[in-house]
Amino acid sequence: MQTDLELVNKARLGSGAAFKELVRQHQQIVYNLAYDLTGSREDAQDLSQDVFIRAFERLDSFRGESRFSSWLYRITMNMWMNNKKRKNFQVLKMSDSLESFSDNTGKSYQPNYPDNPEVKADMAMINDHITRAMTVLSAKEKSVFVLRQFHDQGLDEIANILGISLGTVKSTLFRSLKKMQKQLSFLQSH
Amino acid sequence: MKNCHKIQSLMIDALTGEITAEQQQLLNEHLQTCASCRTDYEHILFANQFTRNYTRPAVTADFWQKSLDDLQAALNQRPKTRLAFSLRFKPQPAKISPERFFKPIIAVTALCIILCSAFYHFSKKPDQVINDKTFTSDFKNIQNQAMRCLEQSKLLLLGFSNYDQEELPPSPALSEKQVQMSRELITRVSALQNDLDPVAQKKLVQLLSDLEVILLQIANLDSLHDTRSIEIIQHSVDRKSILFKINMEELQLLDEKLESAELKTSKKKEI
Ligand SMILES: [Zn+2]
Repeated sequence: MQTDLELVNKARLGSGAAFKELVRQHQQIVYNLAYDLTGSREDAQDLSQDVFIRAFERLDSFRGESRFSSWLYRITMNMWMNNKKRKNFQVLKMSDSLESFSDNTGKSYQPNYPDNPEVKADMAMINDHITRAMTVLSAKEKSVFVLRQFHDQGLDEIANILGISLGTVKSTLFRSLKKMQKQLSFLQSH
Repeated sequence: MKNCHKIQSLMIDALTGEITAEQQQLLNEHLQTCASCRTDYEHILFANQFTRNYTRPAVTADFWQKSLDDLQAALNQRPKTRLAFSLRFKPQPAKISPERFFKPIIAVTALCIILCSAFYHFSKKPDQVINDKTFTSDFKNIQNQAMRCLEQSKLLLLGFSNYDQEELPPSPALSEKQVQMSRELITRVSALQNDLDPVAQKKLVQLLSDLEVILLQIANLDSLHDTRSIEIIQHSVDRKSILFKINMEELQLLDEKLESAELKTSKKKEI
């Protein structure tokens, strides 16, 4: 097994096979992050392809100081935020099968599901609750939240990826978890 | 209450397991006295727990390969592509399963053959090597390809590292043909790495990987008379004992080849 750095060095020298191997090894985490951020398959596919094209162009700037995956995470985050700024695109594409609500305002979202344990247990439904609740998070909150909750990144690593201080990571995670709880509180049993 | 902000940070530490015993105690003590933080803590614990149930929709089996293909197409369309950039896609790497019989006898035979062939090739001039046009011909199997590749690389590197610094012309220089050849070899060497069994052929794959780096260095030389860079490459050839390893691997491959040939003939005899 070749290390990421070995592959990067080869790819930098022009080896297409080495670059292909890098993509193969990391395409899943990049796509997953892209999906978590955009909430749509097509957007995730577009974003992750853009990320690898960017990575290919910027390979010279990877010096092996951080993990290659962290480097890709950072590119993904930056491109997502830039896309968001540019297009201000809808973060989440809702499935029509569920009750209507106005997203992106956060406040007015209150689904009408009965407090039924069977419904609660349904994975798809849970997922839907989570992704809908995430629409109230700011870009920064969402970045920290997703890296921590869905990608198991440590707090230090998140600070490194996003280029913010550890203190900011903690306060942002705290804030995002509180916001999420507020959205999901109707499911909290007491 | 002024303490509460600091406590929030401790809550996150506790949540992620990055908390010392003292900090945990501090947190516990505060939570006992502060109802607001208690509620906060309960809330974030719930959110933390609940959102762990998040899953992503499954993708189809060919999804990753398709993404790779799309990326390849996108990259190929770009004007700025570097010399060896040709993403190669093969569905499944073909596996070589070395069958080991008659090993001791074959090893001795192989040793004789390799010594003879080494003697033969050492007596050749590097220029003859470069003119070898059989490079592009088809080979029946990966083993043959690997052997051919190693042989070509060895001769390239031999001719290249045999430059005597004291001799005239004083500076080591590469011919266009050698650079061209290194480029051709890169393609083959990188393809072979995918085709070989990464476990069974581990040493060979590693060797090809080391070799590829050196070939890339040769192919990317800015000037054919860049003495300093050429020396660095020669040095890395020495440091990695590439030529010695190539000889060893060739021996091994020859070994396997003869074994299978031996197997075939013995089977025929049985019939
Ligand atoms: Zn408090």
